[in-house]
Amino acid sequence: MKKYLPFSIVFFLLFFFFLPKIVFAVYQTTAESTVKVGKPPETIIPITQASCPIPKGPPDVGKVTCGTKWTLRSGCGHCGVGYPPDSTRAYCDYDGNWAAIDIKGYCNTPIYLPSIDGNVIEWTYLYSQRVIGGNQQAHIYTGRNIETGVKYWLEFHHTVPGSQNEGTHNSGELAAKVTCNGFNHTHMQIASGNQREKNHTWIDAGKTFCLGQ
Amino acid sequence: MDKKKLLIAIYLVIILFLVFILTLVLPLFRKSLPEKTGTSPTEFPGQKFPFFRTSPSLSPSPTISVVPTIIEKLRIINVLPEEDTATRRLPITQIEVTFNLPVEINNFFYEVKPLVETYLNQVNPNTILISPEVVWENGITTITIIDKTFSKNGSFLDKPFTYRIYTDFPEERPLGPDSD
Repeated sequence: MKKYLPFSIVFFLLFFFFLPKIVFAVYQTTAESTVKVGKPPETIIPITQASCPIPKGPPDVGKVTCGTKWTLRSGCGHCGVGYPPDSTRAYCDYDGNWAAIDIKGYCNTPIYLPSIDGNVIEWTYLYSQRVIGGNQQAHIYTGRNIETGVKYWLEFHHTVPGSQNEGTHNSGELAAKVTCNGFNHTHMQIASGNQREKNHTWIDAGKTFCLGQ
Repeated sequence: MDKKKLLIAIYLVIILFLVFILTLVLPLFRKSLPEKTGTSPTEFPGQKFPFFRTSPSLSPSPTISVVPTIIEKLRIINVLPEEDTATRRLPITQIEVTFNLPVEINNFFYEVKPLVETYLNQVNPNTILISPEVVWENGITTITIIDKTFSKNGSFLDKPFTYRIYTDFPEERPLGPDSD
């Protein structure tokens, strides 16, 4: 018994010396390791105006040839007035189609990542939807307003396969190119992830993009 | 005889040492101090505990009066979008959590399963926005707000809060030659 006494004393001393450190380490691992703090507080700004992914050019490049169901452009609205009934039957079950716009462009016309409300958005290429017939793809990006933290979902359809800009890019950088199979436009639709936005899911692109084009 | 005394002395020293260490360690396991006791509460880094307030006095006085303050517990009063795991949402959906008291993002503790990188934004003093850095993983994501979260006035969340959201990419659009 006596011969183990010094060992017991040393054990107790070491154990209680390290205990507070162990407790703190466990606390910090559980409480802080999963937390990433974002930008300082900012006011969330409603979407009122956004840039156009295809700038205006001759002869009619950048023209909005069809608006949204609720905001007609060139006398047309997706899934509404002026939209072919066959297309309504075939494509209007697709998420967000009603909120899309068509922007005129020709084979390989560059499409740029838009700004929103004059703010630069940080866009990240996410994936491309597969092609069912026709030499085209839909390229999909997620965006983040660096100031407010509001997130976006952006789709460009009828684009050249492989023309997406992989990685993270800012507004104004290339997003894709218009397909060369005779569509002569890109179909753009955008959603917001912020519940405070009026259209917190699909944004009426006819109201906010390519105004005056 | 001397050895016996020495052993007793060693045991006494060990017991006193253990009592001393336990006194130091025990407060680590406490979240808050019962209001009836008069000792100082344990503080987490950067946290203020306004449980006790000393009254200001113009002239030096040997007596200090202690006024206990009743602190309202921190509660979650609203989450947007409403929890509904039957509804498929876009994987960028941001989750807005509103408390009954002001909370700072530095004092907001949460876990995400399956784990993805997230970021926080303060919408207003009582509301925090949780966002995925890119997207939530497809399927159910569970977000647990841990009861270590505390308000600006130092009161902890009354209990852990679990929220589930179902997200997935939109179904692929049939991009046929006649699509519009």
